Amino acid sequence: MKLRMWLLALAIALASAGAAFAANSKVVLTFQNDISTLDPAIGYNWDNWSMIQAIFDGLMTYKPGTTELEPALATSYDISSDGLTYTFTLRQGVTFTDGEPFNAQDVKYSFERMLNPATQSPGVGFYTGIEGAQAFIDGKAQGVSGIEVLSPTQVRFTLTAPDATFLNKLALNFSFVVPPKAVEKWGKDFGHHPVGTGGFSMKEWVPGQRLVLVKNPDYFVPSEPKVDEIEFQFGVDPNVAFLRLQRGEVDILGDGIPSSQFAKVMSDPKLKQLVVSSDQIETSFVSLNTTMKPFDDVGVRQALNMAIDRSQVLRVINNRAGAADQILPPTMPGYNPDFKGFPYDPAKAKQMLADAGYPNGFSSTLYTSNVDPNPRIAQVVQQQLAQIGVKLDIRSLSPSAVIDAAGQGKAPMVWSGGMAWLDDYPDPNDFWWPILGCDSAVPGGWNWARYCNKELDAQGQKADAMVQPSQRDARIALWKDIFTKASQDAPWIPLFNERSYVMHTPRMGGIGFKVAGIYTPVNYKEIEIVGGQ
Amino acid sequence: MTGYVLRRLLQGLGAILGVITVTFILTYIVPVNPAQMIAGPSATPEVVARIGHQLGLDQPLPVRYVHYLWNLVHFDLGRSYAQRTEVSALVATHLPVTLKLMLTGIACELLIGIPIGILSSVAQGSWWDRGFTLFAFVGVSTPQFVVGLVLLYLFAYLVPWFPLGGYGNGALDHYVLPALSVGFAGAGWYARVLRSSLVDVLRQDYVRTARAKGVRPRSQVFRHGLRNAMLPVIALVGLDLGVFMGGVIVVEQVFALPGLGQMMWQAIQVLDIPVIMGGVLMTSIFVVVGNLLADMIYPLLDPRIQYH
Repeated sequence: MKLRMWLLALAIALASAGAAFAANSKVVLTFQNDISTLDPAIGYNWDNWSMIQAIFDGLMTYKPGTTELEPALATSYDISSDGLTYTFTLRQGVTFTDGEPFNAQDVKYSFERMLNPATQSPGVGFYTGIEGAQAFIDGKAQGVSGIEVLSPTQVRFTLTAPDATFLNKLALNFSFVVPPKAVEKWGKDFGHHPVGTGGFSMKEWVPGQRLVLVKNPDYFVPSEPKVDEIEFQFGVDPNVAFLRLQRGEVDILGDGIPSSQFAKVMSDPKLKQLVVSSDQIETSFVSLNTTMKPFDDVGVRQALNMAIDRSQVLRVINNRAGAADQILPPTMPGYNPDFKGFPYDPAKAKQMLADAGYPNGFSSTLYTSNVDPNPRIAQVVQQQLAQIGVKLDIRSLSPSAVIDAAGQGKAPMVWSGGMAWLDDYPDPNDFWWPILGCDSAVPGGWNWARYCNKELDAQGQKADAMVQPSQRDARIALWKDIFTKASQDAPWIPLFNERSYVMHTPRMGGIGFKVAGIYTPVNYKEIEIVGGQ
Repeated sequence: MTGYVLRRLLQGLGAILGVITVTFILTYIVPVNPAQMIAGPSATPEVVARIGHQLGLDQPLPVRYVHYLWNLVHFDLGRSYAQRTEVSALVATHLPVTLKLMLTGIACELLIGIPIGILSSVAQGSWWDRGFTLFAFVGVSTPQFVVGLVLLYLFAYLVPWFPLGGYGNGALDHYVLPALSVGFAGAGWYARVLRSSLVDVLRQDYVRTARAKGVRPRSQVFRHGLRNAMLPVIALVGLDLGVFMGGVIVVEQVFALPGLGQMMWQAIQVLDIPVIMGGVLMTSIFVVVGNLLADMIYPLLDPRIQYH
């Protein structure tokens, strides 16, 4: 009897499964992990970064498909000649999706909320250059004196020092504008009840299961968004998502193509045309702790650079990256195409080690994240360095444990894979101050090589003082010089620059897939349905 | 009986407290600063320190521990570091999914395991018996996620009878393959256990008496034999409530079911301590309650067993 009931239940289940997917005009994406928050001041992950960009706006944004800045919630801006004040004229007639009108007061409110330590925003560090921000963070001031509301449509920022990337920082999620009323209403849970001025508004969020965004019909960019509804499904294993994409149940793989399927996809002409690849503004590297012996010797660091055959490393990851020859990736302004780095030459590497006083090599420890494929990459590095007599002991730990050990300066060598430095904005100074500047070579900092070159730091400050648009070329040339010198100094062994691969169904298209290192995995406002199933 | 139950409940509470304590100390030993995880890469050390202070991470372990227990007594599981929401709310959305997976999984174990166990004990030594023995060994020794992936590939991708993972609206069709995956190993196990215990029981004097007085074979097995032979299986079901908590983490991952397993998995990756603690607490409750239930069903099935 029991068995028969079970069979009956099975039959009913089967029938309902068949009816479940009828044709649908909405776009479906999958992610393996549930997203944590949609609060622009807080969210800082691969998966929620662009969802927040779809719901909220900042004063600045990037022209779709490019790294070119343009005003968003502002219509124009004016930079003072000393580069210290930025005056924005705001867009009029914009409302939040809950109907509240947007004005200059909201901009100030949003910044002060983000900077308030109680918000625990990971983005605070980008904005401490605003006058009075530090005093506000330390509780010594009620508001941020450097953010002034001049009129309901005008707001002025005053900086303590010129910052050529300040406009880039105003295009970062942390600076996005939130409506005071909704924030007060939801308090700490605002991240689960987001309301913005953006192209989409949130319709439904069932934690662990799905998030549904619907088009904001009143969005101030009339041509965006190009689809009516996006459903994000969470908890979907990338392998399963890949199968479902081929059945047309999923439109875009949020986590990319599973590595086990990658070779198959790229060798199948039909599948390959569904893949959009883009070079990330990213460098994966092995850091060499320049304060520890023997890595305090530049000769040793250069020798290690020469001992690595990068094509072997790339093979481990199915060539989903380009070989790196210097600190900056080729997609970043300031990359030096004439600098060829340290080409593979184990014989010369061995000679240089001998010159530095290590004819028989030495032993050291390489930290790596324990998430595949990173331990395998660390092993390739281990094997290759063994050829010049360097014996590495691999410590494979959880990413957070590696970050902690490296941040405390306890790790002689760290393979950055899986924790690597992705740009926050497409400007070379983002690859300097947080990971190579002297100020980041402190406990808890991300300068894992503990590299500190005061002379280059001073040049960097000089470059960042060139804030006028007319000075841009000279500024980039200066950064190019700084990074070339730093690459020559070899605080890292740069291994590769990742490429991201987004796979979609044949019906999807649009400039939203051209992410230019800014969107993860796509720009939701610019993806569109271009054909039938 | 009541006294016994109370005593067992107290013991269970003790066990749960022990588990919480050990987990709490473990999360303390892990060389990771959760404040750094929250603060993100661009945070200055001062920001990290400030967040650490807000979370109470700068207090000594005993203070944090007492604080945690105090909140727990007030049914406050704390707030998730990563999700920025109440842990109790997270548990409330994820728990029903796991419960359903567990119940359907146990149903699968019983529905597959018991018939096989009976058949192979009755037809001892036959080709049937040997075939089932093989099945049981394959079942017990195949990891659940392998079973899950194979089932998904066969019955959801090649032959699209079932959805390719996901939870949908929680309809039963989303549970069939996951339940089979968690139940497959158990079914083999149950079949083996039931076979050996049934073989034993059927050899006993009272069954021989029944046979001698002309009881039909079917009755010999089901009325006289099975009732006694089921005892070890019942014990296994109780234990499974705990054992499953380990398996569901993997199976929920394979089938994209938003249950406690997935909640824990994501929390562990980012060292979201309050969520890890909440998950461990729920798991230990499952184990204690499962064992207790198994013990309480014994006397109902076998009047010879009594608790005092």
